[in-house]
Amino acid sequence: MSAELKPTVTVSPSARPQAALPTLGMVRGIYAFWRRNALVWRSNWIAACFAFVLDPAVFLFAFGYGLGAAFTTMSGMPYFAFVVPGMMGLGLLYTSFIECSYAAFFRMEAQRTYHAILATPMALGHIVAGEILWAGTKATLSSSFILLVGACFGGVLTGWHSLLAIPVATLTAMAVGAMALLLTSVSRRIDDFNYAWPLLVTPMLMFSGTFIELARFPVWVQMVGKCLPLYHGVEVMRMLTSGHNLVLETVWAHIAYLVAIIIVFGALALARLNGRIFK
Amino acid sequence: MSTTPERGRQTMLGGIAAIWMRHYRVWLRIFWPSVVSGILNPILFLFAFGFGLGAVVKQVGDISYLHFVVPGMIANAALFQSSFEASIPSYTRFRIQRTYEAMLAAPLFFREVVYGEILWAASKGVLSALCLYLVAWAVDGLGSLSGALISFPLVALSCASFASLGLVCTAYARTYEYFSFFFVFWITPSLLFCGVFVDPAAYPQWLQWATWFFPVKHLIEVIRPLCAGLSVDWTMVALHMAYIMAFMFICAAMAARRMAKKLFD
Repeated sequence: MSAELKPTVTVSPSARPQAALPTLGMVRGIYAFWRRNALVWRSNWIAACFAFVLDPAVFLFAFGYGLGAAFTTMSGMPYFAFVVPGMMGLGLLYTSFIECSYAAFFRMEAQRTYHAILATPMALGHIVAGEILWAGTKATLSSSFILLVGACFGGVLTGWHSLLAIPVATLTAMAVGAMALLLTSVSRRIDDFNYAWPLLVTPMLMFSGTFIELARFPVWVQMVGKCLPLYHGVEVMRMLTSGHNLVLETVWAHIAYLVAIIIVFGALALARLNGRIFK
Repeated sequence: MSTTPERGRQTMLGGIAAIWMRHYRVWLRIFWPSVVSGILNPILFLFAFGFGLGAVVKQVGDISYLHFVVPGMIANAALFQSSFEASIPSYTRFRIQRTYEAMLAAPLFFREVVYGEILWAASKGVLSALCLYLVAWAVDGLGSLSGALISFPLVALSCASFASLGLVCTAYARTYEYFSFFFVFWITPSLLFCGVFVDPAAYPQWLQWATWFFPVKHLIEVIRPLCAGLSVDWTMVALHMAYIMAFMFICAAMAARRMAKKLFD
């Protein structure tokens, strides 16, 4: 091999790829990363679907029966109708959190997928946005299935516009995913996610009005719950599937909060990952 | 079996202890994350269910809701921790890190590795259960302290049973995705339908019968009256524990058989 064929530019994780190669446009870059995750997922989709689609449906059945016997009505609606959007929230919370925490950390640290991708004309922003979008996509599948099951058993009180709960689920999942990705960016090892369960995931699950309305808890717990994105998502989904207290201004306010969470936490995660990967 | 440890070793205890110590030393590095989540998470659950459900369900049968939910949560923590430890983390050691092959290159029997794995996973379940006993004791959730003390070894014994089932999944799984089945058919039904948070009487009759398959239901049946301080039928306790032990032996044998096939064939 002659000397001039040797690469003059070495692309290593320590050099920003933009310096070496033209970067893809934003939409193409994000789509490329999203598609990478989708292709990996597709190879095992039957086994994967089992956990995050069937599991929340079993929860729906269990809570509908088990807690439904204790609470006949909640927030002025039958308990089953109350719990359907709550279980959509549970499904999207677990799916999206695990995708952007354990799975993302595994891709970054064990497989070094991010480093490999950054050696191509992709930017770190594409990875962060693609990761959050992919978590949203997976969670959408899970939430839609619960909505379908809930509708079949009479848990959806409104008509077709209850379908609007699905994009809300996507948005909520992306907000959760953005928060999880920030945790990923600061975790030193995979066991650090153990802290996230008692400090983030369980409070979100319990105090977002998923299966017990928030008003039953002390005021300080309600304040904590209202800061977390899942509360806002579940509130909007519940308005859409039950038709109770459906006020358009409130819906937009909740959605604006979710979008703000996605942007703020996504940007923080991007900044932290930038410091971590290109140090 | 392709491994031939030194001749004349009488028991497997030394080998099992060596495996256990190996896992313990790895775990010491993540001591704080484990203990913090082991204690804080159950406190949150107790708080949420205490406020939410306890306000509505004041009494289940003869006991208060707190006394009802505490043994359920103890059993569930034991179940989740011990069978989880024998599932995905064991799979990582077995298939990804190839720790078993490395261990078998040392003078250890294959069965020592398997039993050491089960013992370790069970120990983690015992630790989780212990955290819950402490939390429960602090919030006055144990009706009878002596009953709770008697129930503890029974919980510890059951942990080995839960761990064995986890190891069966590890032995049969081809990829990480296969653990979906473990969650959907084992963890979730054990949590939801075996009387952890709600009285299983709320569910349809067929479901109440079907869930007797799950050892955690037998364990809850045993430790609930013990922890609450109710009168206990010791024959039934013995029968329930016999089922849990039988479940353990079958699962451990299945796991060992399948793993041996994957390792040595």
